[in-house]
Amino acid sequence: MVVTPLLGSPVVEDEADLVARAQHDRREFALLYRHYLPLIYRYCYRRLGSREAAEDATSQIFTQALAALPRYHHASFRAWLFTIAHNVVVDEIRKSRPSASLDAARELADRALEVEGVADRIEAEQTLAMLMRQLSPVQQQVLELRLAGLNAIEIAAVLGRSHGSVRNLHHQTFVRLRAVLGVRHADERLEHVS
Amino acid sequence: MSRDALSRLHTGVADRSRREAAEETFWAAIAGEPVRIEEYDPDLAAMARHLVRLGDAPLPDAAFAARLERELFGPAWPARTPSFTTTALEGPPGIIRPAGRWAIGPPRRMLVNLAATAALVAIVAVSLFVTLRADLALAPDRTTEARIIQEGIGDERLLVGARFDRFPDGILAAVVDRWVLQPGAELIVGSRESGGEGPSAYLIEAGSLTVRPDAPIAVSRAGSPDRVEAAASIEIALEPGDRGYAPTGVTALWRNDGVEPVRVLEARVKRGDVAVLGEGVLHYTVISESPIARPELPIVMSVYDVTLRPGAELAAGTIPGLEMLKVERGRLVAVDVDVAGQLVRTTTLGQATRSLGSFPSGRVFRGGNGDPVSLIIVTISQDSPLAGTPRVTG
Repeated sequence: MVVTPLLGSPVVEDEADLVARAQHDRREFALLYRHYLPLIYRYCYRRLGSREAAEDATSQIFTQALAALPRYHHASFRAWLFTIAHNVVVDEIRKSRPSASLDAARELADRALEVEGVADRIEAEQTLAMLMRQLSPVQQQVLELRLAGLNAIEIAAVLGRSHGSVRNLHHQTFVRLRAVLGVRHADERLEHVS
Repeated sequence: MSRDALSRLHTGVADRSRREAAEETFWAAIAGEPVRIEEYDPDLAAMARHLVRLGDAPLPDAAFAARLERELFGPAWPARTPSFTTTALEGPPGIIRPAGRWAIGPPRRMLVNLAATAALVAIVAVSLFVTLRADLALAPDRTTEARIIQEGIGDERLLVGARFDRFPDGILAAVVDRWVLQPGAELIVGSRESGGEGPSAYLIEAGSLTVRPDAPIAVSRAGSPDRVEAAASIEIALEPGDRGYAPTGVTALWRNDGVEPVRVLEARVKRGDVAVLGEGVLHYTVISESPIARPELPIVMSVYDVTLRPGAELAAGTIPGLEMLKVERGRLVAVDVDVAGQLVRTTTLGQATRSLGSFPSGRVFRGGNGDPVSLIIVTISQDSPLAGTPRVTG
């Protein structure tokens, strides 16, 4: 198939070179924009819970990125862009609290029910918003950034933490997710059976 | 240290490293990396899949994507192919002149520039004309080909299908729309301003549609595989069952001169812009816009009306180029199984359920009750869509 969804399909082979060119010619940034738009938008949608909020945040993120691009000197463009995204989203959540979280949860629940259908209602009712409420804010951020495709080093850069700290955070989040979802480790199951 | 203690230590270290490896693989799976997490723990794999599914979010609306890109970078697009796609952009030529050049230049230079510009415009116009003609000539008529008549498929009809060779600049989306023009209503299609710039194939479902294109288009009459050219600026009446094919860059006026409403089903790849509808024009989205990456050329976009018999199954993986699916009538159950053939989940799609735009491997569709299910299936592929043999069991 020659037509593939935007998400994840284009691969920027020489991103550093592209970023360097974009620093001198903003039109080159359009190529990066097309590559990262789906990733950023979906990250915002997951965090903010509505199309309108995601679009507003996405616009802010790319506008800020375009303005700040001449000063860019980071190792990872993706981590740099998601740092902007993280800050914008945190600001938006702070501004819209507390009503937005309720609206977001409701919309996510509605969306899940719409997509899943009645046959899978039990699973659909467990939306990401509901799951997130079981995690600490920083654990939520780890999960959201992982879902956005970032690795541990990039997440450390986005959150401004050391790599070791983020490794610990990953482990804590993993343990918490397992507890929330009722998934025990294979070894634990074996011990239980024996 | 005793042998037992040493053994326990080794076992503990091995367990710990295995757990850490499983955890790292779990996070890689969450990030969408192609990892074999099932090898570590099937339940962990199920947990990762569950989280990814919960974390699923829609792609940006194509109209929003295009609007934001315009706001960020202006109307002049980089006249260069992105490194991660394979086709050329078709936007403005990107000629950049120093500000005020025309005003400060001497008269002779102005005349030379004017002459050069006129020559350039003429070359572009001729090239465009030749290209459009070539598009029409190259695009084979696929409107009468049925592809998936199989056991279990009670009925199948190719509603519209066409090969698209060129695309507008910007973020692209595939969309299937239905238009209704009340008597006397007019609609401009195909232009950037109308929100419909891009190649289009359409079927007249009801009424008589008068079309006046600004460049040649192709049309086929009901029941005939042959295409004929409809000349520019000449009005042509299309009746139920007739089809029209307009390449990128062709704008047309659609008008309903009759006394009955006109209904048109249109499949297209377009720039994501918002359509401005005139009085008496209704617009329904049959299958919502699906942003697509700039394709290698050409592609074949086809829209099928398929009826699944009660009890029959249709495997998504056996339909090449399956892009979108919508339940028109009845109840459809999507069954997802993993690589080991184990049931992962079932999803029921009723008539009001949002259409599907993604198809995990292993997904099989079957009727949700004892009734037939009517589906709209959209394929986008490089060659013949649905040319394979779907695994259908009665």
